[in-house]
Amino acid sequence: MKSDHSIPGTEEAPELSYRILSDTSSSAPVIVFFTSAVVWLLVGTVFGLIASFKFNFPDWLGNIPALTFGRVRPAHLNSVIYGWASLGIAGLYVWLTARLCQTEVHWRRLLYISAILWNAGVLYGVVSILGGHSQGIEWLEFPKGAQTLIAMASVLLSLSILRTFYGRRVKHIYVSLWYILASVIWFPILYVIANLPFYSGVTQAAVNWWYAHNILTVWVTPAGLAAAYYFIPKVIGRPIHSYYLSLLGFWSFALFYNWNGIHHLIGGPLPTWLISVSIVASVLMFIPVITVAINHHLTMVGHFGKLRYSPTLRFVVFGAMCYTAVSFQGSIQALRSFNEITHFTHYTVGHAHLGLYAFFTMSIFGAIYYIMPRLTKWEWPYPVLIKFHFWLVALGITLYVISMTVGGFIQGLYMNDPSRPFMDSVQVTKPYLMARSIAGVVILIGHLFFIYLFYLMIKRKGVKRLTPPWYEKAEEYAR
Amino acid sequence: MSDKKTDSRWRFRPEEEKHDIYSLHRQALREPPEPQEGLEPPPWWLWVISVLLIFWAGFYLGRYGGVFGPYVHVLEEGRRTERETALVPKEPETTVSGAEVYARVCAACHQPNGQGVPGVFPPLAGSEWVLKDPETPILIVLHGLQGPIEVKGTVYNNVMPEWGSKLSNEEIAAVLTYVRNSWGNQTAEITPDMVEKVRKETQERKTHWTQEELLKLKK
Repeated sequence: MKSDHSIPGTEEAPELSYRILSDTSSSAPVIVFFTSAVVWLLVGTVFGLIASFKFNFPDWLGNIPALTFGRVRPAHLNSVIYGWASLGIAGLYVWLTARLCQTEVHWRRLLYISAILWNAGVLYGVVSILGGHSQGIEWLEFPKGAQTLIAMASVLLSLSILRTFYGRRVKHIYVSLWYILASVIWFPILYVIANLPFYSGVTQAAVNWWYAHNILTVWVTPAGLAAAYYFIPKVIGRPIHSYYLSLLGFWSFALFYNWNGIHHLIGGPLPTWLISVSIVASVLMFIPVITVAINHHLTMVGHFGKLRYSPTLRFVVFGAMCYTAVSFQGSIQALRSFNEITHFTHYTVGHAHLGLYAFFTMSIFGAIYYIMPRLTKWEWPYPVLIKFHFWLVALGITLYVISMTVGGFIQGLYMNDPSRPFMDSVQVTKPYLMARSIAGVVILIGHLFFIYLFYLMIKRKGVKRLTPPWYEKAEEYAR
Repeated sequence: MSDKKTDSRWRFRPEEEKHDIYSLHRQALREPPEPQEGLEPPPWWLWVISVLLIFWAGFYLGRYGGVFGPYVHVLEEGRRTERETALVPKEPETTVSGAEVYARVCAACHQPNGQGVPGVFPPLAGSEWVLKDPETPILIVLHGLQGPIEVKGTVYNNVMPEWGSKLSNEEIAAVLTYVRNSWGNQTAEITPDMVEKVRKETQERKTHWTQEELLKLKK
């Protein structure tokens, strides 16, 4: 299905044979990346759940040093960011780059080395954190050795992707590829600069939050957006609404997002202009976010019925909607008057999970549901489990975000009220923290369904199906 | 498709299925073509929102940008809201810490909790001598006290040295303000000027006070 105004340069390519070529060459490295990502997803979820239960039962596991809150919490953060998210992104980027360049994956050996280094780095890092050898800087807790491994792994990944891009057979570069290329160039630079050994004191704090927010800018968000830009039009078989909106969205994203980090330090001992500039940039993020939202929404309009028949579309559209939500929330949260309520409360935790889970993780789930059958030549064996997976994690994260947002806001109001003792602000969050733990359990159960399905996929086990999930219904719907 | 570099492990296994192109590449065949891009113009209101946001950005930076330099600049200095004023403790007028002077000079006898030692050193918490008027405690600290004295219904008989030559007016004012506002005590502040005035009036005095003299003075 072609638009009347489609961009010239892509019609001539013998697409099908290239599609098969790129899938065949990307399958092994992508399966390696996705499998290790899924393992880290399970590890990260368990750590997160332990940390959450510690708010409900403060003495639980308190006598085992490795499982105290101060170690489990960074272990959760680092295993989901550098394990699940990063390896999932690597798999998505490799597959999508080959697809969009209509070529095979080049330098695949680098990808295998990258996967090994990456896993070794995360394993070494998480074990060190549990053993008490954390650097004590949020998002950069890993010891220098683990960081070196990850930095090398990300450089190798970037080299392979850039080489594949260099060997492209297309003239026009699709918007998802802009985000991927920007991301694989920015991320290694960011990671290396943030880990240089000569920051201290206030500078360290500034570099810390510059990094922690920019890992979202250059690594997590581009991956989620690349997935949304690719899978939404791909699944519904319709061009993305507007090339101009894609352009505006990408360049305003590139211009504004990277200034945002210092809004984490509002009220801190930094020059005011630095914080104000970061607040302004955070609010200007409305421009790329609205632009991307319009672009996706107008592509989807009239096709929302397909959400029922495509697991990929379901997850990716859920993710894209949450991207709009989390970015609006983030822009408002950066304002001084609002930040003075929500800073240092559970509200921030809710915001982080709305971004990293409801937006990013859901998008990656959607991508995996699309990509895996093409790599293993096997259909998802039990569509009903996909349904369980979707509803459990969707309801779980909704409960999570609502309880943390409401609980955190009340906590902030209590903390700002001079007539209340501090302990009131702790007591008032108790029911919300219990709701958060319940949400965590629901999400973990959803993940177990997903992991079981994923295991069946790589083993080519379970019911042998010839069509994708709900295909028959989708055919009916299309008629 | 006879690419040497491709890995055979994840490829289709011919022994499991009929080897024809359709079963081999079922997933790839059923896909719609790779996505393309339409060329619709952006909606007009997106430009309006963007321009308004950029105007706001300019205003915000002008109003809250502070000084462009490496030093911290406290934005709202001197412009605290009422709520913030309530949050920030009142700044003392002197830079001397009453608590520090108390701990150094007084706490040895009167104890850190102001309760004194029963039968030996009288308490300061709730003491009528501390709370009644500002001059009496200033006199006692300046010149010391000797002989029997009744505090909260108990008679103590001991000596308190004079501190007028060792402590400055600021230190005496700070420590007395601290004593008169700690451990449940709550009375007016004593300023260095008040101490200076009393010190001038009684500068000929060279001996410790007694209970009778103090009671007489106040009449």
